Amino acid sequence: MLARYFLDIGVLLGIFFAPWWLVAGAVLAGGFIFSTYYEIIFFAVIYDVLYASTTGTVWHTSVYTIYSIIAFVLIRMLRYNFNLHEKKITRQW
Amino acid sequence: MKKPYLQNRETVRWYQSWSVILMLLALAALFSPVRPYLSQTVLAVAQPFWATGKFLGAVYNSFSIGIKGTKTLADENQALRSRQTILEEQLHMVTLLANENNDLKALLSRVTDTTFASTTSDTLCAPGDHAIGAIVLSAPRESYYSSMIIDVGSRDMVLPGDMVYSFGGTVLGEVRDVYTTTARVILYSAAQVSTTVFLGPTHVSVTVVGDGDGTFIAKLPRDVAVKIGDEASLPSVRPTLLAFVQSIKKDEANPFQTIYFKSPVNFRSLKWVYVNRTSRLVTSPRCLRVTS
Repeated sequence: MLARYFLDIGVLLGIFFAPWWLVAGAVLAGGFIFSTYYEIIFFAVIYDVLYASTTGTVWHTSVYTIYSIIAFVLIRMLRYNFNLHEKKITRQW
Repeated sequence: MKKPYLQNRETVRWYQSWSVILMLLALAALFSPVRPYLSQTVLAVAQPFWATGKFLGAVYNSFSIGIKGTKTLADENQALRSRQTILEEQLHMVTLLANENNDLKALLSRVTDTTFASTTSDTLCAPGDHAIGAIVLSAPRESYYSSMIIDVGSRDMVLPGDMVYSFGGTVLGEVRDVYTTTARVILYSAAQVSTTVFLGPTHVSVTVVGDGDGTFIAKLPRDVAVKIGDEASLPSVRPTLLAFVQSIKKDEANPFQTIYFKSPVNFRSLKWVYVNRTSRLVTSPRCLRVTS
């Protein structure tokens, strides 16, 4: 759990200071490492409201959130199909 | 005995329902009238972080340079580097202005309001009565959208559509969203953003497409004479440099040539810009301390 907090703080600071691809890589890694990593969507919304224009098409205003929802669903499907981190997560329940 | 991962149906349903609710909330936040308020709140939270980051960066620079010499030397060095960048940009502007001057002399006298930013050893002042200097809070390199957050907003009479320049006079983009103390600038070099420019001394009208990080691409018929170093400027009475030709790709089998443009501004180290608040009664130009 502590590692998750550290990653969350790191990603939040990364949104302000780091290049976008580094932040994207970190949240994707978090999605695979941690159980049901809701933060993917939360951080994407923060990123979009911070940097994206409020006018224009979806691709100019909310692309990060759209991709994060797709990534969230795909990661959950992958974890379901491959039983990733099965033991660790079962213990959390 | 505990059931294995994702075979406990109730737990799965519970997770899925929360996931769907979260997704819907995220989309609702982005596509509802709440978004500007959300943006303003997040920007207000982000500002202290950016300010702290800039302060720590300045402290680190002073410390690292201070090891080699005195603090005065560090400040002087930083100021000189800033001035050098601006002078390099102005060199391109001078070529552009000379061409324009020749054109006008051939026709008739015409008054333009071309002015440059004034610089001293430790200050930068935005040119003209309509311009206001701004500090770049978030550089474009951090953003997927090639946007930039600056520290002026509606309090400083900045409006959406105002053009943003580097202190060397190169146009960078335009203000898209304005908040009380901040504004979001979308760069012309943002991916897929199209801009019409005049190219070279013959002023060929070309549509350039942003390719990110201060670069642009355009396709022209192979017969059009273009050479490396030609300036691309926005069509206006006042010549405004956008970029210059960096390389040209020609293929014998292709009737078109691909022109690659690069802005003279280094977007990775951009710290100060100015906003031209077109045709509005505004206060005196704002100067920025470059050593702070």
